[in-house]
Amino acid sequence: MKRITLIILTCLFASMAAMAQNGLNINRLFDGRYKKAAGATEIIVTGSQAREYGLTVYHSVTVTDKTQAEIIENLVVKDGSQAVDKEVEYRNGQLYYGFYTMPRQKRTNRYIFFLNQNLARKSPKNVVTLIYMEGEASAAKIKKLIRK
Amino acid sequence: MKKISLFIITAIVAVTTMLGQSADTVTVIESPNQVIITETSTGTRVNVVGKKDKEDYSYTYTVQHSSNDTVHTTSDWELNFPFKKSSNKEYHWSIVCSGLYFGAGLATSYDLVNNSFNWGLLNLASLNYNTLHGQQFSIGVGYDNKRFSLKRPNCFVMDEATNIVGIESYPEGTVDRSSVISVRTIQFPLQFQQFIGKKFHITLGGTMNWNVYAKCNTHYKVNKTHHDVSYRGIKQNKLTFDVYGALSYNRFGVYCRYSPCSVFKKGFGPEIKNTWTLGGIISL
Repeated sequence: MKRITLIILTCLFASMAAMAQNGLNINRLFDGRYKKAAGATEIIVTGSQAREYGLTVYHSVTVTDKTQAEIIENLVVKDGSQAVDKEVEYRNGQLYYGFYTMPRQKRTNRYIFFLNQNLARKSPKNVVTLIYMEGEASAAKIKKLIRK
Repeated sequence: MKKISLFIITAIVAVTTMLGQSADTVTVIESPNQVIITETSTGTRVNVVGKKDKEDYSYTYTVQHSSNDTVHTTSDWELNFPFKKSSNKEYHWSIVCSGLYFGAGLATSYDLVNNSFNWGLLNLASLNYNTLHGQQFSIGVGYDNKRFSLKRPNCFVMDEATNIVGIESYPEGTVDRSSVISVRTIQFPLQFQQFIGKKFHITLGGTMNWNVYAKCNTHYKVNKTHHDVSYRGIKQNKLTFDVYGALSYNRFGVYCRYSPCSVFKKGFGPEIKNTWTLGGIISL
């Protein structure tokens, strides 16, 4: 019985580790829930339009529902803990922005960007943005792309 | 066995606890030969190579950045969306003003007519139905102006008693001659548009024309004296029909218009009909 318990525990730890490596927590936000939600905008770009910027996938979600901000932030922070490189800024104890370089998968760079414009100093807006990008583009190029 | 199981579980719990909460670490290395501190994106690494009594000594300590590492900036992140969702949401129904056109043509039925000139606004207002699959139907109201000029040396004259317009030669010795009939029309176009791609479209349509006003102007100069003769009360055909087609790219296109109906009511003037007009059209 104890042996079985040990095996179960070992399997549990192994599967948790595997999940943490392969899947992203933010994936659950891209299940289409924002496609028809009021005040939300979801954009998915693949193909030639994305390739222009060295990307294969561009997936963004913009929400104006404050309750969603916390949900998105929590998932982003969870994924951020797996990042190989990150640039984050907290304001008033909340994540203002985060740019995460995730571990490469199938020789593809992966980036997560989060911005809570409620926390902007100049002109705060009730808008939270999450962008997931995949492709050959470097982090510097991506930052240039998404920053005015 | 019991002891081994207990030990493994305890070890797992201990490792998990260590991962969740880092304890203070104190390591004292006396007289190190070399200390290398490397700041990486994932954390800070301290590498000690060699010490006083042991040349091959090596010690490495790494501090991972935590998720609370922050970058403090004074400015806000001005986000740029490289791919914006189109704000031009398409609707089935719309009311628009469109189709300013200018054209020149010829009345093929009447040899004496030199040319015709045509301009107007196809739709001052139109009600459009877009299938959102590349087709659009519209019905509207617009304005049209047609002018017909005669080949020299002929000019229009009107018998004011009967309002019948006829054609005569200009008096002898006249210069600077022109004789035109102009017709002002309120038109009701019904048209179909097929879009090919985003910018190219073909238009086919017909108009019902309510010819509300017509006048005849004859102008000439004899012995340095200008003569301007205007005839009003011309008996134009009040209701006529045209058909047209256009090829447009973006806002600019060319059109061809055919007017099979006579300008004058039967018996009130020369039979000017079957007019073809070619011209340019600008979508507003």
